[in-house]
Amino acid sequence: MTVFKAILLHFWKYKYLILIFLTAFFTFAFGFSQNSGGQTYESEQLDLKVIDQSRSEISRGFVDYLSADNTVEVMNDSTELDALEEDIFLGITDGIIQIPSDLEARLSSSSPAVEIISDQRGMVHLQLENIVNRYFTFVDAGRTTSGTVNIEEMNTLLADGISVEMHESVDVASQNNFVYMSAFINFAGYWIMLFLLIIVGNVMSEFNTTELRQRIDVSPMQTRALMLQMITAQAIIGLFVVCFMFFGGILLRSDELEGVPLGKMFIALILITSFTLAIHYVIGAMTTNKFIINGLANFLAIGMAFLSGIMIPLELMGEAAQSIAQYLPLYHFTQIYAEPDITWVDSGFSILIVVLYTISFLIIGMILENKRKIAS
Amino acid sequence: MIRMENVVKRYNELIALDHFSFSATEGEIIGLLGPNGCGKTTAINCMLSLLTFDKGEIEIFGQEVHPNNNAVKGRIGIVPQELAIFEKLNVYENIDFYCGLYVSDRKARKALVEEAIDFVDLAKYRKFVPKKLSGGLKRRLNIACGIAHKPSLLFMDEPTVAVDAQSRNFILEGIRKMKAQGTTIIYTTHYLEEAEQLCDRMVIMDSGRNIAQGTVHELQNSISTQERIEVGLITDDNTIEAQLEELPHVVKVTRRNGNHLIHFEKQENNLPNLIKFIESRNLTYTELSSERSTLSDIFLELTGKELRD
Amino acid sequence: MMILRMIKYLIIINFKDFGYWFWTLCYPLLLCGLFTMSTPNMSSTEIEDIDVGIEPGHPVAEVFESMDFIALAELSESEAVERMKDGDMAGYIHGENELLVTETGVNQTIIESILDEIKHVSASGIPYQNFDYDREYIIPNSQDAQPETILFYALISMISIYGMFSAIEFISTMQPNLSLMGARFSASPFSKWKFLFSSVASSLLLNIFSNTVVLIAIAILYQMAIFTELWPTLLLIFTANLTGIGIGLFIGLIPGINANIKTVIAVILMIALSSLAGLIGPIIKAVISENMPWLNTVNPLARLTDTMYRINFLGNYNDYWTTIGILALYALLFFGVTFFVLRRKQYDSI
Repeated sequence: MTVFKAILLHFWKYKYLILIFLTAFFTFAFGFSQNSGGQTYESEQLDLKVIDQSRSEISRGFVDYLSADNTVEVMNDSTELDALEEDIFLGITDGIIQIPSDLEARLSSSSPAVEIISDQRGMVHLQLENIVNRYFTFVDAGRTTSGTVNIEEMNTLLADGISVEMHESVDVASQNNFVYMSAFINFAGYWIMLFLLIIVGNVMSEFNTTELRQRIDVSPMQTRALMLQMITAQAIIGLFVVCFMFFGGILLRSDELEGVPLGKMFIALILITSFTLAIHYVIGAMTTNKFIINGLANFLAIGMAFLSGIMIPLELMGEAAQSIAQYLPLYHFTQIYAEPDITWVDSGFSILIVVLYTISFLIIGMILENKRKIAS
Repeated sequence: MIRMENVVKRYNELIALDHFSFSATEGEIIGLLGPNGCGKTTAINCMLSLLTFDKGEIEIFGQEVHPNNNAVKGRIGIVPQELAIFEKLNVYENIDFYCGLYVSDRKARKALVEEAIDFVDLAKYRKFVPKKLSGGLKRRLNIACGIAHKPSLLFMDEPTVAVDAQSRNFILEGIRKMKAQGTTIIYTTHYLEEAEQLCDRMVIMDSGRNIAQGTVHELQNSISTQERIEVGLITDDNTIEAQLEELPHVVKVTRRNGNHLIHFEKQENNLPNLIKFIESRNLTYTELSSERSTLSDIFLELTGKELRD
Repeated sequence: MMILRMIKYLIIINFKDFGYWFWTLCYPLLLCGLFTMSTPNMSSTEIEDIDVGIEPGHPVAEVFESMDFIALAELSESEAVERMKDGDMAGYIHGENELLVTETGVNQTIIESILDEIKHVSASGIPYQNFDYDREYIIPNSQDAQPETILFYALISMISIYGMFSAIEFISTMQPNLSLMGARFSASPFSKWKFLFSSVASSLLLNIFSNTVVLIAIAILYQMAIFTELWPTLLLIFTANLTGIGIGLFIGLIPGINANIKTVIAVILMIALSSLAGLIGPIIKAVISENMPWLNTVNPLARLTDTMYRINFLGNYNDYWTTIGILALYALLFFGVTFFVLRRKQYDSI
């Protein structure tokens, strides 16, 4: 057990770094758990900024009307348009509505009443135009009919919408639970990869230096026993991190776990851990240079995470990226728990792919390791 | 050239230098000897004005040591025990880099670097990076980096540690050459025979103190130790050992490799007395040698400790 | 001349280092390639027809058919549910203008909104002909949302402060209590300030060189037009380079830990600052702008990222000089601290 103990002792040396890694992960996870969805169907709210220079009954009524279904912030006149436009650029705000001071005159003269700024390329823009047009169409129609319009009554009328029914087979709460938890596990997968590649990479590079390995090689310890102890020690660290993240996630969402395929998620984390250790085995057989190990670790982890849809949803990516994703183990890792009600049979294919990847990397590692032994 | 007077250096509770005094004159090689942790490196660092000290005075070239005294610094060279060379620079570049800290004139520097390369016989390896050099060659490079600017005062901290015999001889020969050129050298080492061969004077340190100094001979004479004479006598007389013990100032007689080893109290006439004894009894001897105290003996005598503790 | 020679050697030492090539050149270029591959569709969510299912013979079919962004299909509820679950249909209209959905989204909200309007028109009691649907009430202006560009600007910000790694290396090398070489420098007549100046100059030259290569690669290799305002952007990057070197010097001064751990600290700091500036995706940026806007002010990388897209994409120079000022202030602060700490010439222990 001496090698086993020595490796664990080496990991202990990195305890603060491990702590920083885990703390950073949960800080991110906690931050994102704050804005989780509701229990049933909810209309998509637009995030709007309104600059009201008219301050008339109609403009105030307009703001009230918009506020009924959307998040509206009324800005004062001195607000810089540049800053608001930047919010659209960043995707924080859906649109800016400027109500001019001569709103009444514009309405009477059939000129355009308000100016809106939004990204015209998207569906959100369509929705924004729809709701703005509706208000003024009703104001105009009311005036045409009776010469005057009661804004308050009109707003009450406009606020009374139809009822939207979520199909009985859909459990919105569970769906939201699933969405959050799968994002959590996605991120955990990336973090585990980065963590294991960096920490295990650094620890094992110390352990694999030629001088140390030669000493072990000349000792009476059998190669099989050595490998077994090395793998067990790494597996224990991996399992510890997996359990920490998985049960940490469960604790974070203890009330909102319905509809989440926890078993598959746990298996997925275990598999990605094994896969990462297998990659590390290959890297370790190639080099003990810490620079290369850290560089490769960083790039492999962030590269796979990006291309597997962990950072940015896959459907938003280019076709090239989407087709590459199919060949990446991290993508299949996400597919193990792709649906809330996914069956083991459906997960099976992705599980198999990740397992095959792990085995192939282990074989490559063994070949390289043997080559190194022969060479030395 | 160097005067260190009652220097005290404390690290919290630990006294690294305890009223340490020593001096060196131009062209001398001074051996600074003592076990690990006795304060040799601290003393050197204080002389180099890298370390502050609590009490005492240090003068080099007649000037007080001060971090801003660049005139003094410019005349000093250092060869640290561990390799202080850049892994990414080749032999020539490493020497040029360090020489450039002292010599700004390009032509002069180039000549000095070439001279240093020849001095340590690394001409064949001038384009090699340290990684490609053997341990001994790296040591030579380390030395070249310290001496290229031709310092008047050179500190060498264990320059021959982990060096093969060939390189060591080469280095020692180089040090003698530098001495011949008038360089003063402060030399620390664990190899006593090296110190005995090389150094004009030695300073023996223990627990931050200067416990003895002088030439080897002076040191041997300064301590009240015993003198041993080994003699191989051809005789059947069984009482010869008892007779030897009767000689004046003999402490004891033991046997070594079939010979008699006679331990005398330190005296001028021990050898003549013994020869007289042999002649008076018509004895034939096969071997006769007087053993003088080694530095190890001296150190043991002075401190009760082995030098390599 | 001695300074120039020192700069030359410091540059050679770094240049021959694998770490320098990997981290300052290969890594950003690889990341850039990754971003280019993964972001092209991100903001080009073009208006596509919304697939709507409707009960056969339903009265509102006519209204929906008249809309050019709706693709209407008559079908049964069970068929519609199946298609909705496959993601091929947004909603199903049936009964008394009821909408059946299987998920929440913009498309569902648009259908809901149209049905709302039909309900409002009939409930208002206003004759239908009084509604003028041809009238333009809006002056539309477009501001493209391009959150993905944040990734690139955050990346450029990150590489702008890479100089901190060589600064850490140099400052650790020059301190006698941290390195053997430091002891040798201190014992030589070469002044500390000349060495500090040479370190800063070589870090700056090295990093500006690698920055230039990356920027040229972004422009030529990846065909990205993210610099419409080249010179002002370069001034920003230059100032950020100084800030990065300042941070590196500051980290390098931390006593009691070796250069390797300092590099780890710098890596963590850099990843944290650049992630918060938007390197791991624009969402984090939105979360911070919403909840902790002060973090964007104090994070030099966020300042740099924001100002770069502001001047290049939004033509907004409002905070340009403030950002330059803040970055320069950081640099001055760290240089000042370094100057102050290094004034000490001797050490109590080495």
